[in-house]
Amino acid sequence: MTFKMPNNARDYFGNIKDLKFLFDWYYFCVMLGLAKKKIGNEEEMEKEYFMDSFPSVYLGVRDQIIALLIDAEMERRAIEPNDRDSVQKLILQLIDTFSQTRLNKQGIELLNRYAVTGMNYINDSIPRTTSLDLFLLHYYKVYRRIIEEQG
Amino acid sequence: MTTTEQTYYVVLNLDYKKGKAYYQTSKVSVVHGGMEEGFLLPSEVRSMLSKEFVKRFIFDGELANKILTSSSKEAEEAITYLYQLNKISELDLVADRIVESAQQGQKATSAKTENSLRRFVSERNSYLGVKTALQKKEQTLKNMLKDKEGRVQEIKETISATIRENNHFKEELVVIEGNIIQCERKVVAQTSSVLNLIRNPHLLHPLTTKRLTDLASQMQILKLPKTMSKQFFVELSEQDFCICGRPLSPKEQNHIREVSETYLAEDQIGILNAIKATVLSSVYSDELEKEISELDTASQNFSNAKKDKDRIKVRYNADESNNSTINLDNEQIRLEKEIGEIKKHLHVLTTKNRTEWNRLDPSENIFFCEDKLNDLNIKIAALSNTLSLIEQKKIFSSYLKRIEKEALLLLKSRIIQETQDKIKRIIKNEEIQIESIDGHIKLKDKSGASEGQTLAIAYSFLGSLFEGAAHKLPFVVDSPAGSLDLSVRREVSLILPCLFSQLIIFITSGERKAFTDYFYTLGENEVKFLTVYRSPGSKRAQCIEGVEMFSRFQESEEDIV
Repeated sequence: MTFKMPNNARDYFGNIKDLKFLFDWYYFCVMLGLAKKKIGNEEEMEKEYFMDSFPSVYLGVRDQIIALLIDAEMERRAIEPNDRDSVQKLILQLIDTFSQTRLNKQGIELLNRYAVTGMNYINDSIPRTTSLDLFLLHYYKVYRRIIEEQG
Repeated sequence: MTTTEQTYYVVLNLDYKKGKAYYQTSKVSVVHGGMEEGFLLPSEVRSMLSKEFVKRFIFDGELANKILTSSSKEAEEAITYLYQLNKISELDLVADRIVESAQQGQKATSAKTENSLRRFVSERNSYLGVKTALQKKEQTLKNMLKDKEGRVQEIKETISATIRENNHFKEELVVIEGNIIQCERKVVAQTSSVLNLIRNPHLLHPLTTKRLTDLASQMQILKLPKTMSKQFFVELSEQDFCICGRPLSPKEQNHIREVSETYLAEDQIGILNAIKATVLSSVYSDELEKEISELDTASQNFSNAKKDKDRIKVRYNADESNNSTINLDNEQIRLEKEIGEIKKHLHVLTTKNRTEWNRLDPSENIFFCEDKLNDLNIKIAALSNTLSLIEQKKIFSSYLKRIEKEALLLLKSRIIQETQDKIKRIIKNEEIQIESIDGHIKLKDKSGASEGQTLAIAYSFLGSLFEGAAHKLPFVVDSPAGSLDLSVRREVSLILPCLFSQLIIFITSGERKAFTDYFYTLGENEVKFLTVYRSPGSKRAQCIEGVEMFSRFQESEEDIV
């Protein structure tokens, strides 16, 4: 089990010209979800995975995404940053040494659920558009607002 | 013959050998004088020398009887011809010929003339109506033509202005569209740049970077991953002694083995270190923010450029203009077609080309109609003139008849009076009165007269006739005393010279008695005595002038010719 697309993603992003790379859609969703530090329902994602590894374009930021996942999970699970054992335990729960994604099944599943949250927020906050530039501008503003709200 | 202006000599040549007779006329004149072939008296004289006229002054005895004969019209005809009243009737004939000539010109009789005139006038009135209608139609068509040509001109100017505006619009549009393309390119480039940068989480927001760096810092603080790996404790639990030298019982070995599970494996430590290293190296920069800002600007510029294009389109109302130009084009085509039709109609209406008239009716062309009207006017005028001429001729004829009648009555009255006076002087032993001249001389209370009285009345009548005549003509009389009594002869001889200013008398030797005595007394200055005779055996006649020969001719037996 690897990356799964939130249910509404194809409908929403399919309208945007010049944004045909599926992992981009997933990335925009997961980053908003991680910013909100809130996971979505498992049922709100597609049953079939669309990709089983980080594409080369995103390979360089893979660890940042994983780090943000750990950070979000720490807050969601209320793990004190000073609680060394809990943090290490959390890391052990998410990381798989032998996976290309460096995430184990739970880590991927969580990441997918954060993507669901992000998609819902996109759907609610960013008007549908066909222009990639407008989407990016909107997305950037929305992301900044959320991250600033979260602190 | 001597007229007031000229003396003529007329020679009648009788060529018995050839069986021919011909005249020669001689006159004295500086120009055209001398002898010429033909009877060349002036027309004025020639017209008098008609048979009917001449026999009135070349008198014979029979004429005298006719003057008094009730079945004869000689007396009246004598007046008519001597005073040339017949010329008045002839004038009527001349007028007739003029009318006939005019009618022949029209090839019509009077009745036909009137019918034709009515028909032509009716036809002319009809064509006058047609002409008015055609002229009205021409004016209407010209007005329509003017309106439509004016509208075409307007359309051309509007289209021209629209094209100019469109050209200006197109020029602006080219600039704007160029700008749009540039903006779009900028947007595309900037979008691509933003997309590449936005794929980096640490560039999204400083707080994101902070989250990452905070996590990495915390891991540093917590010394995560632990330097001791799981493998170390697993291996230690399998040893009998700890690394500190103390012995390890199975209990202690199990504990170490359990605790080892809380330690990361070496590969996990490596990953975690790699993550920590990556996160620690994640430094925020405003690169994405700047690119976003530029994208925002580019996007707004792009949007504005598109709005500019829309505004220009609205300003020039390009679509409507194009539609309106198309509509105007269609209207112009329609109008030009209509103008062509109107010009065709006008041409038919106004062409002066007579060849084209062959294909037309006068009711279709103004000038053809006018031509027809002119033709009718000429016919009507000609017919009107003919009719007028006929009417005038009728009046003229009535005047002529009246003039002739009145003239005859007046002449008769005068001649009766003068004849009466003369008769009184000639016939003294019996009162003879003329009652009237009605064809012949009608005597009052007498059915007839003796031969002498008849001659006396005739001479008196003729004398009176010649007195008032316009021309002084010689009176020529053959055997004037013929069967008269000697006493009457004397009276006649006395009266005859008084009746005529020039008297030519032919008598035979037997008629001299009681007739010539008076003439002898007048002398040879007044009377020319000519004796014409041909001697036996001689081929030529002789004419001897003188009273002596005249008075003695054939007095003795040897003088008998």
